Amino acid sequence: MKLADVKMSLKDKKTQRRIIVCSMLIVVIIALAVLMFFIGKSFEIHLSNMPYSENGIVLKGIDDIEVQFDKQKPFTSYAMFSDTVQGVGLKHTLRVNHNGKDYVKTFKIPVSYSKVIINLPKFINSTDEVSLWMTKIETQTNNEDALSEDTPGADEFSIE
Amino acid sequence: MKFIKGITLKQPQISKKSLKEGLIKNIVPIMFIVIGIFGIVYSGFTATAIVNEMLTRIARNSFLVISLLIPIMAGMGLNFGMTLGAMAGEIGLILITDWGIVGVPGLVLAAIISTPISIFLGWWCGTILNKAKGREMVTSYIIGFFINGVYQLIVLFLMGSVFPIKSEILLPRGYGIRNMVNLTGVRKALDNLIPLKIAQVSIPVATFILIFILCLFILWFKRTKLGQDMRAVSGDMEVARESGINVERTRVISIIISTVLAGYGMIIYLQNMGTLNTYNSHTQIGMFSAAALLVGGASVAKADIKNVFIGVILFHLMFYVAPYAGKNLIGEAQLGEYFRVFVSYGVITIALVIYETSKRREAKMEARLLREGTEVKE
Repeated sequence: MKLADVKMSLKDKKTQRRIIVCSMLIVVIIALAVLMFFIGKSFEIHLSNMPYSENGIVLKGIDDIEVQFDKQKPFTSYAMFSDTVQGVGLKHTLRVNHNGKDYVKTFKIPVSYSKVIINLPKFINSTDEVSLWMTKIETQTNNEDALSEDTPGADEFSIE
Repeated sequence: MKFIKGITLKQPQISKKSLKEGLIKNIVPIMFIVIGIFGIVYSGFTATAIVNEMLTRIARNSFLVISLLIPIMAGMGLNFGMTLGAMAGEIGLILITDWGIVGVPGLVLAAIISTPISIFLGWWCGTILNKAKGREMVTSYIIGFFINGVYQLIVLFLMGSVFPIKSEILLPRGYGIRNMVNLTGVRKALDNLIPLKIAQVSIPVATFILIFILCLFILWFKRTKLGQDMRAVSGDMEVARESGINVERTRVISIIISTVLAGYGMIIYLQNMGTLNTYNSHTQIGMFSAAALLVGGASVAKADIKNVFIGVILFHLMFYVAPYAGKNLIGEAQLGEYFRVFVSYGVITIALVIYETSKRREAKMEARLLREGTEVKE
């Protein structure tokens, strides 16, 4: 009877340990998934050099400014033009060089956004407050141009 | 005559037949080597182009083919139900594309999402296969069709209506995923993780490292208790049961592992392709992975890692050179395409027939040995 009790308690301990290990493994995997989600989240950022008006103040587009997004290759932006860059992750740095002066701001894009627009004249003339120069672009899901169903594509095993 | 203490056994001469036996046993790889040589000669491809393409195809397909080894180890034959894992992998990729998760984090997240789906589908498939002992291959093939229907129901109707999908992969009607999903965010993310180019030949180092790790896992797994249990189950289920092995549980675990690995393999396959054909990508994956394994000299009862790589090289070499060889020989590339599809299905048929014939011949040989070869000398 005593030996049976010991065996039962060992089995219970083994089962208990197995449950604890499995639970910890599940927690680690979920944490990894969340981490991958935040690390890999990509955004489409439109860097707009268009005029901007607010409260009667008009900010014109600025010609010939050097723009660098994160560690990507710097490019020159001209007034009335817009450029698109892709950013991966939540935290980004935007550097704009105008008249020899560097305007550098680090900001976070909310995870629920997928496309944003940053107005460069506003960026240069504003504080670090993100909402002043960055706005969300609403994603259009119903694409009228894609009304016709695309045909099934061939994979490497298909005849056609 | 072979003498064992107290018993004399007369063995029939088999040395002359060994070459013939070897040829018959390896008829499929030999056929493919011959076809491949002809194909290379007439296709007009340079050596660099062929090597480049073969390396890409090995990296793309090996993981999927290796996932078939464990059910064979457990005596369940070719797991055509690996399609279930492939579908789970595709669901993972659809979700990460919708969420805009790119690069290797996107692939890891897709793998994590596909894992519980694969485990559930593998458990369900394994449970059904336990009720169809002896008919596992055809049962898993039909299960694949059934789950394909469920997958299409989810992806064509429930995504967008029940499961929120917000990106451009949604059809204009508001629910259902488009036929082609662009995987630009994860395209070649794993292949280009560790880039290496030697004499104009690109080598996807990270993918090969992953495949190597899987091969080590398979070798290690064979030595574990569970791996030995699977081998015992494949030998004789009743003897394994008498030895205290939970046969049903062991078989289910083998299918679960195979399905999970197939899910990961599908993710690796699709990141290399760069596009997801939502409703068709997975349909022939099982068939062609099984064909590749059989081409490599494996049978439904025995398969090894070397069969995987030999099979992938030979099978995909034919896939690559056949259309161009057909075009150069006959002026009709389509003929080469039909030829390769015909040969792909044909090779599975030949391999299954050869296996069955060999099994019956071995049984007859054993019976003959017992009847006429035993003499007891006192």
